[in-house]
Amino acid sequence: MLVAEKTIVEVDNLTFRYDLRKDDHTLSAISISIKQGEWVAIVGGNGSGKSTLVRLLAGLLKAERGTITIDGVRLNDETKWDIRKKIGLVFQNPENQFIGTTVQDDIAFGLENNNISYDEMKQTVDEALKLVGMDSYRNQDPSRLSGGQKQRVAIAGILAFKPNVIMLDEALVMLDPRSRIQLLSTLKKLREQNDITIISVTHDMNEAALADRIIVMDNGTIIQDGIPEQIFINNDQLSPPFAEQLRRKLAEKGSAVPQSYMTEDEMVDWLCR
Amino acid sequence: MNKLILGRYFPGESWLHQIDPRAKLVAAISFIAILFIAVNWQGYLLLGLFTIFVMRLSGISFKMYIRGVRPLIWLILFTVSLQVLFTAGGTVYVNWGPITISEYGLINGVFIFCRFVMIIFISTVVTLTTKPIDLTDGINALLSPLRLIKVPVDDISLMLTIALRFIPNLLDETQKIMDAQRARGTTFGEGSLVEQMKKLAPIIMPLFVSSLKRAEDMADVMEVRGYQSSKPRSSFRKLAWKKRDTVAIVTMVVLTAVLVLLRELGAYSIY
Repeated sequence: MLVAEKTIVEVDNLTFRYDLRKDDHTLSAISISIKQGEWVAIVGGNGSGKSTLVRLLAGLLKAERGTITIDGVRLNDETKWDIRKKIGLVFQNPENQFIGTTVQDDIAFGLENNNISYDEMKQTVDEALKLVGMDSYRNQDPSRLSGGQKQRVAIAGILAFKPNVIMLDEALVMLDPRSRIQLLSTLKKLREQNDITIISVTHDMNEAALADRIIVMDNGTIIQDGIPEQIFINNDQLSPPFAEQLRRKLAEKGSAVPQSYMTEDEMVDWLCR
Repeated sequence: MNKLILGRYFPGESWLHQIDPRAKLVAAISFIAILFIAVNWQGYLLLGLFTIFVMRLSGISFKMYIRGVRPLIWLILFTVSLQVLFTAGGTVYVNWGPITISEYGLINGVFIFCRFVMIIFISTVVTLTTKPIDLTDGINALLSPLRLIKVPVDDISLMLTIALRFIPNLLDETQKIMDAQRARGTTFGEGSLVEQMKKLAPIIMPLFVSSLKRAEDMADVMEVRGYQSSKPRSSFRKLAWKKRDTVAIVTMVVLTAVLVLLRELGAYSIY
């Protein structure tokens, strides 16, 4: 219902290796198509190529073969600077992505890079601060912020460009559970209100379970691609989210739980019937 | 680390705190320059009184300034003693081979001591009353004419900004690494000088490694956020020149004029 028909990210036959002398491909012939407004989780073990994929999408790495098209524009050296306004990337370490000396300076950093005028910057920074709920912290320096607040600022820095896509490269890993939940709800809200596509690379299956679609990667290829319920039922390697674990345990004990995958909300409803 | 005052910022609302960093830098640099105009005690008295006045104006206790001089006291005393021992002229009090303690030497020594202390006091006033980021902006603005001869002024100031931004992080990290080494049985601050220096290696190496990793991360962040050093950038922080900034500059001009006058009138009275 949220997912529009427009394709925003189109990856075709993407192949990449870090060392051209070796025949060791980090990504081999990957094709994905992601629609505007979709929330896609990319999961997989270490070295499966999921982080490499988002780096390629942000134009930080160059593909060996294959194409990436974002909002109808093909990614290459000339277009990458414009494409980066449409597709933002939040990294894992909150500390290292805070460039400015205060919250508002950090949000303005990307705008300064694009030579936006002062008045426009001021307005855009205000709006972005409000979107992530950080407007009362605008003059704080990073040492006074929690990891979750820093990640919010990073997201605001991206939102300042009114992007189509926000990519998270394990951006919630270094946060405490409460910040993680708050940040996820902010992202949900942003997606609903601004029709933003979210691509999140994650190890956390509870986070992945919130997505519309999960892509499972292994050894540089996509091994599964589907809605969470299919993925968790058919995959023994991934440890399922908490609600699903609970359902399986209950089923083992002989409880009359439904036989199909359940989200957390469904599980709560079932338990409180 | 806590002993180092020079280069620290002290938050405050004083008149000095609110001066534009450009005005402050220009005033401080010109103060250091006009120190060399003074050649007699009247001139030094005037500069000394002015320094004390400025220090009062900052609203920061004199103790802080004294603490700022302390780490440099040996360097000052060394320079002063060179002056005292090797300057000839006037009445000679002691003559011992190449070493002479003369009237001129002693006077010069006192003047150089005062000059040193005033330079440190005034630069401490600047750093104590200006946020590092404002200083960087001030330096950027003052260096901007160099753009004409293709000096990458914006890159330099961005480098300074980022360096300042990460100092607390590096201090934290050093502390963490030291704790980690302590947990493995290292004791710091014990043993001979050579032993103590050897103990620094296991701190500095991990610090280097993590700094390089951090730099790599940051380069990625800056790139995805559209930073290109060749492209013109706008600036979100704005410096605004106010009346008090003009007042500060005019004060310096007046001070210079009075000093020149004293130099002519006094006519090297003490020499």
